[in-house]
Amino acid sequence: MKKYVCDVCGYVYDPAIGDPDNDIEAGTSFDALPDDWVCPECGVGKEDFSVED
Amino acid sequence: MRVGIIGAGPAGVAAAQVIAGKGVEVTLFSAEKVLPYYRPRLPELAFGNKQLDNIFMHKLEWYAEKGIDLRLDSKVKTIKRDFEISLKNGSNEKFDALVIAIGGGPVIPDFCKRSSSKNIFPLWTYSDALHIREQIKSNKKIAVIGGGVIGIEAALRAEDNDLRVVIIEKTKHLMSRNFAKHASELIEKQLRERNVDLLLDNSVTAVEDTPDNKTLVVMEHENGVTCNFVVLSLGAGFDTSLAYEAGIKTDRKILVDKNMQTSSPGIFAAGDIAQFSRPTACSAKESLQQGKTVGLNVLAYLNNEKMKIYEVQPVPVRFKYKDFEIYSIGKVPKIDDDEKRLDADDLKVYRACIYEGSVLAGVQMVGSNKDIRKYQEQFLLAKAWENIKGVRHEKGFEES
Ligand SMILES: Cc1cc2nc3c(=O)[nH]c(=O)nc-3n(C[C@H](O)[C@H](O)[C@H](O)COP(=O)(O)OP(=O)(O)OC[C@H]3O[C@@H](n4cnc5c(N)ncnc54)[C@H](O)[C@@H]3O)c2cc1C
Ligand SMILES: [Zn+2]
Repeated sequence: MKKYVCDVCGYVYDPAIGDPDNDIEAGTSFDALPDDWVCPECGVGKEDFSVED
Repeated sequence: MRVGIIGAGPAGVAAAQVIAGKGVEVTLFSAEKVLPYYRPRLPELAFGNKQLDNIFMHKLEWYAEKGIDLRLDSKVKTIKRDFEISLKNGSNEKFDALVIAIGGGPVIPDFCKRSSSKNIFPLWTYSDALHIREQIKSNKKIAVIGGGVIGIEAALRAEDNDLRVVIIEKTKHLMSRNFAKHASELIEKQLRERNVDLLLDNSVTAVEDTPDNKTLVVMEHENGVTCNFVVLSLGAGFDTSLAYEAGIKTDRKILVDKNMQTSSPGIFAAGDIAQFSRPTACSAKESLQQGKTVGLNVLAYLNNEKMKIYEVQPVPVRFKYKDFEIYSIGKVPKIDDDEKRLDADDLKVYRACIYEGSVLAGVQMVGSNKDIRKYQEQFLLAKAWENIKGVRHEKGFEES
């Protein structure tokens, strides 16, 4: 599964880790994140993330 | 044709990325020595206990691959309206269009300018963050001057790293420009619960190093605070001289029209340094977006095509660190305003929608940012901010 980078702060969403602090289990793909999920570092939404290159 | 971009924060880098590869030479000037980085991650770099491996936006090779000529440690000294610029090393270069994306800098108050203390640190650049990082060994005490979002983030992270922390703030309540009094009081309570001391309603008048190698912060009303070092977080100031001296119109920042072009054709401004009718809040996300628009408009300018309009939107004040969460957008409620609480009986959480008639005019949250996306969308869609006094030009992020 692909990693995604926050364009604003550089936080990397890694599906293998998920976002346990915000109840996102390991193994959750970026697409499967809920629409109201926000970057845990800077608070922007999913639309401000890009696929890591 | 050649485009010169001055400043390599989110706005400058985004503009460069849009323009590069379109048959135009792009030169990106940075005053800093390190590769462009994510400024919002600096508090983590300064106070975090983990090594940060992803603070740089791109690797050095990326710039060359994209066709961006990145010049580090290259401060631009002057610009002219015919696109000639001079660098601090004395050389001159000529372009066909320019983008000014120089951002702001930390406000340094008079008591700091007068002080000979070696223990005062702003938190604005990569090297500032490294300086602070060097200062951190356990059992140290720090004083944070200025209780805005950055001061609060610094304090919470420092506390987590076993430092003793006090925030000194001039106003009676924290973040009072962005939150109602009862919301501010909850913010204060939650900080105190996390072992962050607060000295509110207190102006610092002097900072002095003591003979035993400590630092004394002298205040108007209270006894002085002795600490090991001081973090300054008093908001942003803007140096417009680069534009002003070229005869470009400036106010508090550099003025731009709806296409983000300055008063001098072919010279654009983007990011924190750009100002529409009135100054708006600093924001990395906003700067990035403006950089993209300016990139497109520079290409349009060079090709004699129609430029895009940049839609200015209110910028929320938002911050989250572990379970400490705050959010504010639009109108800040006053006592007689129509405020609808979303969690009426919960003493740990304050979430409120502020209405003007039937229109959502503001949203405030402390302690939980639950459903924030929903309310933010509703607020922005309502476009109430275009008509409500005090909302559209709400001061935000940097000045709180
Ligand atoms: C500690 C801290 C935390 C922050 N956290 C957040 C956050 O969580 N979320 C958020 O949205 N925003 C945050 N911000 C604000 C955000 O970083 C800024 O709004 C954003 O970086 C502005 O982008 P910019 O491209 O306009 O300018 P900047 O990022 O300020 O970059 C401008 C660059 O231009 C360079 N420069 C200046 N003059 C010259 C010159 N003459 N020649 C060449 N180069 C020059 C500067 O050295 C600098 O590197 C934070 C800011 C700070 C300081
Ligand atoms: Zn982010």
